[in-house]
Amino acid sequence: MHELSLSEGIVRTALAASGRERRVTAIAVQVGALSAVNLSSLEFCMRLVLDENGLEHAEVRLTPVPAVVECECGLRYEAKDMFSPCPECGSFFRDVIEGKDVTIEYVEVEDGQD
Amino acid sequence: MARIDLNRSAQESNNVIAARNRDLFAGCGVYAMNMIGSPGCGKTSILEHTADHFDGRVAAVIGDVKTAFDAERVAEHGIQARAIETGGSCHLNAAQVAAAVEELDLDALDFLFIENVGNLVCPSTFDLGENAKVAVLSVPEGDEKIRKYPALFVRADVVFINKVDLVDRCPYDLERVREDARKVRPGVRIFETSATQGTGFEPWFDYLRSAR
Repeated sequence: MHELSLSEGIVRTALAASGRERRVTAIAVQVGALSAVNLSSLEFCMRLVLDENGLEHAEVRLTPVPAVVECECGLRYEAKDMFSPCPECGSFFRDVIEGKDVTIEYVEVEDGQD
Repeated sequence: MARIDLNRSAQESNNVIAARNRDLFAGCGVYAMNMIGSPGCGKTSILEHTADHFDGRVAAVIGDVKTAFDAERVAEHGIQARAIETGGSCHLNAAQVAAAVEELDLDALDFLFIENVGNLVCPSTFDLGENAKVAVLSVPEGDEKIRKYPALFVRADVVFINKVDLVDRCPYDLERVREDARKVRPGVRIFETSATQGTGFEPWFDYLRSAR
């Protein structure tokens, strides 16, 4: 359940970015296919941490990000799994370009009161 | 509503401390490894053989949910060892490692082994400041582990297949495991060992000498 420690980090970052005087209304997070994070667990844990911080009404927006790799032949493609070779040249030598990370995309806050 | 764009890693606070650990290790000439595998796969036994071979130039930081059993075990091999009791957390983080290595004499070391909590999922994405991730598999666990837990093996620089002495007594396709490891991570170094028999370790020791 490392989703809980991730959620705590995400909410902490969101609160710091919001400046705390403005209420957080939504947090958007991108979750890579190779990040070892379960979307529903992350949503559950973020909900928990938001509630603890008095942000029951803040929305959690999670977007799955597919694994995108670049083969040694230069082809960039979405890897449905890491056990299939490059559809173009058959190689397994590739760099993962996207899909390893969990990224806090943005935080939405209420407009200032003044 | 106002939107504040962040585009920051959810692990940013951990990553900052991990980078600090990495600088500290490099400054002391220490090669650090993050060992990840299931409970009971042989991580600590591999460490014991490695400690004996490198004669005191090795230290271990060992994470478990409860107890310091494993740290005490490797300390009997004459090396510096510290336990991190996570109390329930399923993986180590960089701050725990930073605190544990404060008590070590890093200048006296060539290698630091950070043995993570037994788990194939959660430890795989948390950077601790290591130079290499070492995944440990063992034959009785079955030959589908790489397929089931790809996030670890995509990141692993080294894969151990331990308990190979049991390969004839378990339904285990060794060649399939080797192939899977190379598919998810071409260029990965694979070591096939039996820690209880003490076999297969020479290539690993050679690897460590050249890695540093």
